[in-house]
Amino acid sequence: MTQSDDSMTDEQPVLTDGGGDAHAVHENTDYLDHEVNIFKPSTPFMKDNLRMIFVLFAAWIIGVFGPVIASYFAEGFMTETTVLGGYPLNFFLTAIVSPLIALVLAAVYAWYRDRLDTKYGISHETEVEDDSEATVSADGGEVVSDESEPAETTTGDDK
Amino acid sequence: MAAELLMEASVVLANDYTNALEEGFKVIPALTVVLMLAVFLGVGWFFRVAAVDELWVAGRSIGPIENGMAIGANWMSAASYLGVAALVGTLGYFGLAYVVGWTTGYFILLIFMAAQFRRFGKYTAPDFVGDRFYSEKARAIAAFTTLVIAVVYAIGQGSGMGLMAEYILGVSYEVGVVVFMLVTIGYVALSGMLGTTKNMAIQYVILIVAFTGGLYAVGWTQGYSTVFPYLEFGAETAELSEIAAEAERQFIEPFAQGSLYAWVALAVSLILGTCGLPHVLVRFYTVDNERTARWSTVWGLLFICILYWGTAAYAVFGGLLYEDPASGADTGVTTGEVGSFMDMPGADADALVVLAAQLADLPEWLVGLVAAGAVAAALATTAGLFISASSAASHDIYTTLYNPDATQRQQVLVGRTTIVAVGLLVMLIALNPPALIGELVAMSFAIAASVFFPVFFLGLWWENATSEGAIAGMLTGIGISFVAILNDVLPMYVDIGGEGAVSPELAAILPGTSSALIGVPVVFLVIIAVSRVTQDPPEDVKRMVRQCHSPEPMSQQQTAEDVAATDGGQPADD
Amino acid sequence: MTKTMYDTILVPTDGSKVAEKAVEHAIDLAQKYDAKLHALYVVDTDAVDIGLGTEQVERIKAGKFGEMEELQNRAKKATNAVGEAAAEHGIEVIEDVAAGRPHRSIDEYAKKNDIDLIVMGSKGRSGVRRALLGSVTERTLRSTYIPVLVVDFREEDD
Repeated sequence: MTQSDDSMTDEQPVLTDGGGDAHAVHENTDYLDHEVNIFKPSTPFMKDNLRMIFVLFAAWIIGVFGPVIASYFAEGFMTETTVLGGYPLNFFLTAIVSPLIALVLAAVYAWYRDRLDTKYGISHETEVEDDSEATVSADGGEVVSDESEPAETTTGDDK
Repeated sequence: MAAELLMEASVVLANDYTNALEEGFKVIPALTVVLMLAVFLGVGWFFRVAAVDELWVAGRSIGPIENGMAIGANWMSAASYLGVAALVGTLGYFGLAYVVGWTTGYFILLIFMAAQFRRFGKYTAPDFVGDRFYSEKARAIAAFTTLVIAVVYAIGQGSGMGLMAEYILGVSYEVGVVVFMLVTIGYVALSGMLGTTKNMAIQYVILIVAFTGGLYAVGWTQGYSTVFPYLEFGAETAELSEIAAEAERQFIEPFAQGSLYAWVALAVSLILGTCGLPHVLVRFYTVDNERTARWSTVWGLLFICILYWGTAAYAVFGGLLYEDPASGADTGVTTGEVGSFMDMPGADADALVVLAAQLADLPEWLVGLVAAGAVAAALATTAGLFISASSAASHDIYTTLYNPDATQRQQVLVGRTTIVAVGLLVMLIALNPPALIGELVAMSFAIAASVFFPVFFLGLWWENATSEGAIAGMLTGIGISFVAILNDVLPMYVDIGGEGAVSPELAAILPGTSSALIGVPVVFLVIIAVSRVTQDPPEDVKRMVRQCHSPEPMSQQQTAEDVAATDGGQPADD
Repeated sequence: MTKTMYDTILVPTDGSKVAEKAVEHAIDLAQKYDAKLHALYVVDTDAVDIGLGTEQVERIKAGKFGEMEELQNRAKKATNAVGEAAAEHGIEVIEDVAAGRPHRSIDEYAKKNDIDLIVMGSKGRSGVRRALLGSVTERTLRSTYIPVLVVDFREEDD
């Protein structure tokens, strides 16, 4: 029952719109019916997500392995150039900058995912509502109905 | 590399210089350790659950910052605290592969695995493998690997404990290992709970204060740095590099201690190992939702970086002080035992962080604080590893595979027995460890990288990865990583003639600490190839995988399996 | 109807044979006293800690027990057994699950639900084994002021 990629082309124009249309796309997608394959994203959401992932991943490769590879090809330059009062460039880039780049990229991704969620109208707050009683009875009744209610007559754990 | 270092150490010992660390019982540091441990254990005890009030209703949620601190504390083992500075100090630029490998990997974890694992929502890593790959064999292999990883990782911690015991308690290394390991075994076996998020957040704060406090104090008193040592030790690095050059050693030259291949292999192994460690991934089960999972990882990386940015600084300061101690004490260099700081014996190297504080002539209470931090870090990490081992043995092997009707009491018995057995095994090996702290831990990462990372990654990102593929892959990963480690380590214990590894050619392309550069791609190929020719996974497994990626928020009371099985039904949004 | 001494009886069960014996007694008493019968399974958080990992204890504490199917199933299995045994005698059972340290959870539950009598099984361990594994029954005895009937699992062997 997996949808093939050509169902995607119908929805592609919608992606550039964002806003309400993306919400509609999201509401209409049954994510459990779409194949998960990292090189063949089968939903618009996944496509957006993976695109960002690969971009940031490329940046990460450069940030993490760039200094050492540069040191290989330009050893003299990397070891003799000093920054910030004496750090050999290769040392500084590797010991301080590479971790920093990874941190920044991580923050960028997390922020981007938040934006993506907003675009598609996904909220994580639905599960943590204050009227948690309502949430419990809702899914206690619906989804995991026969599993979450061990008490047959009364529920002694209600407060 | 390690073998040579330790052989130099034995040569040095013959000449009457033992190590630079001032041994002897010190009251204040001893009390500091006791106090630190008391705080950790006390918090764990205090938050021990008498009776849970609300089983079914979501309580207070833990925010990303607190979670991030727990992730940071999880990472703050003797390897981070002591080991990395040791490796940078003695191996120069090559040691920086440890810095890069143990920080930047969290980005990969974030983009590919954190949120997905959260949605999968089971109990242990072998659970994930067993359920995702619908196979008891896969679960058993995963449980076995979890135990091995825990043991190897913990040996490094034991080593750190022994060294610090020499300084704080004045006992021999061996006695130190035994004492602290017994304390750890005792505590965990009798009542775990060191690993609650709250406890770990407190641990992080205490440990980072001890670590960073020492760094600032050393930098300040020696005139190296003022308000932000991380950006101020440039001149010192240059100076140290010249000192090394005079003794014909290379500190900042990138490929003097290891080729480009070796550097990259090590970094890759550590990065991928980060994404394959069971006890790292199960932390994500405690966060509320994927968004929290993501931001917790970001905060966690920040807290980890705060520590790791300081390791290179400690290495440089430590190196300078080793060459010319402000306290006037004897070191390997001043006594002429070794030509330069880069040749310091292994025991000095692993203690470099504390040594730096001591050689900077800091007051004893401050040096003791730094040392106590190392002990606490090692102990807390070991406790976590033991729990990881006990749950693999109790839940995955005993209960799921052997005795599904096991009572809670029986599970506890199996768990506690495992902790004692694993603890004793670790203790024995730590009495005579085959490598430096950082290297030992790196070996456990190499195993995690080759065995677990591929099945985690492909398990989450390719729904057609089959159980036969996973089993073949894991066995291949075990083969490669174990052979690499044994190749390096066996000569330490068994006399096979010659120097260094059993097969130096093999050790050059497949070091025990860095086997994943080759191991992971090979395992990927194996999994893909075998999965292609075996039957696709059942539909409900595929739906489970899709649920891990679905952006539909899961309710509090669901796991991926639940939602997938009931057709993705979800409670009313608002 | 005059008030009897035991209106509400609690039989904590861990699903073991030891508990089964206690259940027999509890049912008999419930019949004789026309009492309400509660069956309680306590998820031992210490066991979860060592057996599943500390993270899982945190999940329970955070109110996410609903996600943890396997634990729920164990609980239900144990309390269902009581329900079925009681049904044969026409007695209704209130089944419930709690989590925490067993003796404390039992005490809390008993207080909250106005339990008049707790009926528990005991294996009568002694010596080293008792020191190492402890006895929930014994600790419950000590921590609660509610009357406790201890049904020994061992037969009389003299």
